[in-house]
Amino acid sequence: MEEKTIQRRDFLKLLAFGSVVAGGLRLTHLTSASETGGSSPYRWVMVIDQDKCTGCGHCTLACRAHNDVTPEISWNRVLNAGKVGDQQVYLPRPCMHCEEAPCVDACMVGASYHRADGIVMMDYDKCIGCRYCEVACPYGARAFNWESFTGPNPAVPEWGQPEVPRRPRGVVEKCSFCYQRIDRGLKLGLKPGVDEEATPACVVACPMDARKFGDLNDPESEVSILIKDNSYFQLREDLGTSPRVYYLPPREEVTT
Amino acid sequence: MITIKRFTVQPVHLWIALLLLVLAVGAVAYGIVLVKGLSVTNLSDLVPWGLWITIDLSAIALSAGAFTLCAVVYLLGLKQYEPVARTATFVGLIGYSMALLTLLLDIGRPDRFWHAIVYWNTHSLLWEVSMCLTLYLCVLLLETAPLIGRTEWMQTRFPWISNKMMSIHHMAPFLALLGLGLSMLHQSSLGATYGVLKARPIWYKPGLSVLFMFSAMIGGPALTILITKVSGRLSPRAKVDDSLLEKITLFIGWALVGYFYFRFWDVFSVTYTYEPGRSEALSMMTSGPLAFNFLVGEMLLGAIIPAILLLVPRFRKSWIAQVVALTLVVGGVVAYRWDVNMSGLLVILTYLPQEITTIYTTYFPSTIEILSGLGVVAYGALAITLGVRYLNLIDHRGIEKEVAESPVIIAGTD
Amino acid sequence: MKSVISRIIYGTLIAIPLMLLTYAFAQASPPINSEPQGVLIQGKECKSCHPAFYETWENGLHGQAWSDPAFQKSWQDQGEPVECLVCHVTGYDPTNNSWESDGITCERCHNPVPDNHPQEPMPVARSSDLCGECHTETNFQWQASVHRQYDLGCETCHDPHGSQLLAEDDSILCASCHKARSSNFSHTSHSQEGLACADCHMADLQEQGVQAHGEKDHSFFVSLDTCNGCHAYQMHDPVAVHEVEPTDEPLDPMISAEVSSVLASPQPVSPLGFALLAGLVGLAAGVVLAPWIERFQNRLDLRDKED
Repeated sequence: MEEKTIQRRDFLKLLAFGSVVAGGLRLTHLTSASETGGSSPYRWVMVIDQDKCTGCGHCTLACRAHNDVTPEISWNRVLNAGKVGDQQVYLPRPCMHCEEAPCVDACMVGASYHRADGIVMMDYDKCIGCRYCEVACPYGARAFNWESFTGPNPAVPEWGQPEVPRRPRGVVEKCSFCYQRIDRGLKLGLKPGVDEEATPACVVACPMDARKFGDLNDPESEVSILIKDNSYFQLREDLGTSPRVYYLPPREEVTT
Repeated sequence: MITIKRFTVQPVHLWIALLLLVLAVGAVAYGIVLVKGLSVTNLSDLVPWGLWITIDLSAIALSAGAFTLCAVVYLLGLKQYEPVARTATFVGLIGYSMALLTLLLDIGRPDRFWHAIVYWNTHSLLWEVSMCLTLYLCVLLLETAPLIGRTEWMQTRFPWISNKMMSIHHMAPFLALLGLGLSMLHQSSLGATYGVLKARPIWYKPGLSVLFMFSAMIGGPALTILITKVSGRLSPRAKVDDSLLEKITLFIGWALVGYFYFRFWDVFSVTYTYEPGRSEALSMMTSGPLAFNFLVGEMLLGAIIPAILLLVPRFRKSWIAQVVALTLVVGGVVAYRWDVNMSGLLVILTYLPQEITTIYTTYFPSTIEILSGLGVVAYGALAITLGVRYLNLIDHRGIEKEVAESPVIIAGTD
Repeated sequence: MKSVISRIIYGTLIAIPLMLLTYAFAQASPPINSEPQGVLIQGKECKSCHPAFYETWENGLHGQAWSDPAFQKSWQDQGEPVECLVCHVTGYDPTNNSWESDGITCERCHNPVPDNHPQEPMPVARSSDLCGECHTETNFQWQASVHRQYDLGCETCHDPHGSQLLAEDDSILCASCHKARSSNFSHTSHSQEGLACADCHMADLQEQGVQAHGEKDHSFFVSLDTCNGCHAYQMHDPVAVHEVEPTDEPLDPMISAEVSSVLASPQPVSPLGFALLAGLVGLAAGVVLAPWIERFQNRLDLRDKED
């Protein structure tokens, strides 16, 4: 009897110690997922006009140059979306930066997280490359670095130059709405979507002005007006991901 | 037999030598993957999870004998199964270590594996799985400690440590409870990892977590009994009491019938309406590339035939029929996980707005993938073999003595 | 003695997990700061941070605007007129006939240079008017073009630093936007003769006898003169100029973004796989049924012996 109670006491001590450790781990800042809280006055969205898009792919190349993406991967893919009447239409597909992003819930280390202004960010230092986010994304917007990207980027310098560090082998990467340009522009008092230095590279590079970017919280912004005045669609609305990329469908009047 | 000096080569030596060979080749393949990265595999952005994840899932499921049998012994109070529970715990420990080895190989940054423990995203099912895995591994280590502690070698060399390790046995009921809780969490969470993804309609259902749990509770004890039976016949060091095992195989047989029922309806209820992505994945499993694996591997060989072999009295008397049945059960568990993984990844749903169409891709593991996977399996087999030989892993004698000595804390007594 | 050792062992058992935990924590770092860290540019040349841009510029026409031997010869032959210097050097000061640097340097287009670059980006006006300050005729022709009406800029087709086209071949660049027209064109007899988009749509100004500094007509118009360039003698004669030959496989101008291993329908099951597993099933069945088969055979033998 005596021995049994001593053993039980030892076990209870072990349990208590374990709970303290677990609770301590939980409380420390380092072990929680990256900051998803906070608030921001901005709500960034992108509007892509299929009527204007000619499928030239300049957006993909500019993105590749500005974010130092390997040619094996496209953060922004331009898809052939069939014909409307006689007109061939295309669908450029960046990351949707969903409000209910499956990838943010899936990431086991919290490397994929929401920023207060709506951008779904990637912390490449935390990512362990388990590829669960890649499996979870309905839009195929994420790509894994199967190989390390060494050597010069073929899109540089014709299409731009890198503004963010190159990712190492073994992490998953995706479009970031060029947060580095937005943040730098805001700090200098520029307006993302209006001033080119503060706007994502794909939006600036489009020769047809088919891509627009801006703050949905601002009713005067171009994107707010476009969404208010036109019928738009989003990709896989049935999934409930609430994407932040709006598409204006091609209208019957052929412009080209 | 060949006699070299005083060393006689026995079949078991050849078996160990074979395992060591496969292990060595696997280790080299493992090293290649760590150095050159995952580009040496046939995985792609369309099929990011392949053979290794299947091995990982199967290893975890087949280690479920540990928590099932320990729960039966310490929480249901059926003390006569304690020797089997002992075997199952060791098998479980090796199985979980195999799973962790495979996971280490599969993640893109093995050097960052510790991130899973330090950085938490409580919304993620994989976080829950990795947390439970880590904790349960500790539980298994504690549960296995008495096994190692009571060996003669330990008792003569390190008597004090040995005694301490053996005394952990007193915590067995609490460990069993903890193990049961943790296992129920992660075995079903592994299914839910797939089941919560709306992007893959064939996966998106709550039943997936139940089925994973169910199939683990069948496959785990099956592997343990299989190892016990085979070792009993092949090794003089294993002492097997067949009447003890008969009850467990009866349970496995009936559970298989239930599992077959659930899995049957899990798949065929999908036929009732067309849903893009889901119906194509179903046709892949019934008439496409996965049809063989599903209809033959999972259903016929994995459930129907083993159920017959395990339940019909005539076959229950035959050692070979039982061993075949248990092997088929283990194979069926692996086939199930392969099917789940592949059916969701091989079917690609387009997201173009006009109509949701499906396109398909293919996957077959590369040589490096296969070799490194086999290497991990060989490590497991080797560890079990050595355990049977040196740890007195399978010993069904002296049950009454053990029952009298160990303090069982059943609710209500004390 | 035993108690000392046991204490040390307890200590070690606690120390090791604690060490591992601490090591893990020490390596864990907070999320990366999204602010780009920059160095002030005082005293540093552009090329030290932008080597790729510098290299393109150095090897391109803007960088060689002064040093190009063709320019030097032409300039000297004409008696070194100061009018040329307005465009061929940067920062030309006509009052004392001096200039800041040879060729078109960074400051020519990126000015005013901010003090806290790279925190603040280099300004540049992306409009044809900036390029048109020197490329006057080209800009003039451009104003008439449909491209300008759609607000395209010079940088849509040209790399501003090296001034070369953004694609290796001009037809590829045209095709990136004008996909249908390009793929239709590749079937025509004009294409068979080796004509490309620019041959008709960007007429050579020298050939047209236009006195201009530029080389190609940036209005993209095709006039009667363009056709007459080859078909002058067929002006009123409807007889075909060249025989129609079957075209070769036309060049696909579309930038393919498709993933390689994707199929329209799932792969069929390999019959060999079926056969192999049927073999395994047969083997297993044989192994299980062996005693009964043997018994049956014995019975047959017995019956034979009795007969």
